[in-house]
Amino acid sequence: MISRRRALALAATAPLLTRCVFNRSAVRVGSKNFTESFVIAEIYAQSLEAAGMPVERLFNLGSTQIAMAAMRRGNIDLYPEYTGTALIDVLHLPPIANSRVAFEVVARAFRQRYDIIWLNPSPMNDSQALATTRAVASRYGVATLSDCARLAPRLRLATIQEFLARPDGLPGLKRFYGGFQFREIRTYDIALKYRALLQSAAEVSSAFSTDGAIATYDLFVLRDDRHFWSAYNVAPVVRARALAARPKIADVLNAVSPRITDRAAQMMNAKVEHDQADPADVAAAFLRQR
Amino acid sequence: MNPASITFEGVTVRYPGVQRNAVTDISLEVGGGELVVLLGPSGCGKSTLLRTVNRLVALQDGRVLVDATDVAQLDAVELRRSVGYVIQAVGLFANMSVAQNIGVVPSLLRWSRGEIDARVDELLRLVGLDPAAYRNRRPSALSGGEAQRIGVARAIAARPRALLMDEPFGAVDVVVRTALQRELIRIVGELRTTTIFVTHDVDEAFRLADRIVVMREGRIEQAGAPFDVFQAPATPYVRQLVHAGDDVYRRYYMRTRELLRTT
Repeated sequence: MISRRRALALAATAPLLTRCVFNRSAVRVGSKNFTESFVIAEIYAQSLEAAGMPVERLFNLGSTQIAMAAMRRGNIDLYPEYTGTALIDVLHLPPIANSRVAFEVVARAFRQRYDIIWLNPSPMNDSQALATTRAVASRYGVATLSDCARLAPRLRLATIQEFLARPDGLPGLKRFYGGFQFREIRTYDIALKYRALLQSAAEVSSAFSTDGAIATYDLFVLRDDRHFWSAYNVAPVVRARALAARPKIADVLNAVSPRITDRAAQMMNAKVEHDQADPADVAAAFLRQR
Repeated sequence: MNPASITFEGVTVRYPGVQRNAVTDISLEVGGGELVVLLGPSGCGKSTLLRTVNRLVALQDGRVLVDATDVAQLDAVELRRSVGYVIQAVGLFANMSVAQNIGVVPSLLRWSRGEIDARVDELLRLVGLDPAAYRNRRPSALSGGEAQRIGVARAIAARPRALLMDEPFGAVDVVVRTALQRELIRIVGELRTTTIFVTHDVDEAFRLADRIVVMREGRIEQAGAPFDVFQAPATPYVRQLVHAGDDVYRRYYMRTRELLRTT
């Protein structure tokens, strides 16, 4: 017969045990503490759930360092990471502008150093950009940064002060692409730069490629055809052990990643940052559309 | 009235019975109309520094000037009436209506009834609440976000020359917080009230600040425009705190800062 004390001790540990078992069987998905990371982590989590895998969310991890520490200690199994962030902030390597090359470098290094696997990257590339309206793009025949470099003497640029000073801003563009001698440059204090485009006070503005405003105003992002700006494609990074235990994770996430485009990210960022929608609802709506 | 400048000169505070200084030898100038955010973890001294301005804590050394006047020379009650103060626990008077809460300082200053009524309606509109619907409510009938708006309205009712805010939006959910941040930017922009805002939330600091002052262990680690701090962190601590070097964070901070100001 079990003693009374023993029975009490068992009763006390029982919920703890079930919780441990549950946690071990759930896929633990992490995120960093900004909109895009929340939404993409939700997309991963809901995709896994839809494929029948229980998920535990450990969102809002605060920083890349914390997310990586959680991975290496096995506190989380996967989270969305950016190739550029991994390259520069984790591996301390110089930036790479070519998306494919950046991915190959980080994927190899993470596998060797951390036993962490990069699943397929999304086309979404959270990066610096130049934007214009569709009307301007077709009137001037400007679709790429090379076009813009050449046609700049006919175009006006709306931007913010720092774009004129940063090495990855206008000075860098001029050095790398040549040209880019804009007819007029106007800086806006609190970034009414998109409004300048819409009111035809400028033809081109500096932008970030996943800004919600690009989708909201249906702007056109010029293609960085010669690869000047560092690549920041997003991909699920997964602990190799967790992946070995559940190989299905790769199939599920590799199926959803191609759908996460710049356009999709712009719309999701707009819904959360502008319309104040819940990231989980935004992710669910994204997964529902086909 | 012109917005006040606030100057800290070698300010040191040590609480009785505590070995270490709460703040040590802090010098900082806050210009008229500026919105400065004191950013740091709990216990870094940011709230203590804020509370030296309205003399809620005593100085061990140094002085605090509002414009050219040492606050120690001012009558404490007068001082607190001329400087608005908003904290997380709003502290509305439960037995008074919303209008009476907002009118507390103006009535102490013996404004006329008509002036106070007009001011209350003006302020309710300013903080985004319909005067007819809210004027006569009791604080118990307000949501957390509404109560916080009334707290802001009360703090600026008597046209203070400066506004001190200590984690004012810490207890409301993210949607309400964003709305309140947007209101604050608009109000401070319209009134040009010099504002010192305390937070531990890096995101909030980047959204609101004209200038960020990063504090740690009672000292200033770095003071500068938000994206100068991001671009050139002065210490490893600041680098880690603001995620300097990670361009994804920079783009996120810039975009959300912009959103608060454009819509």
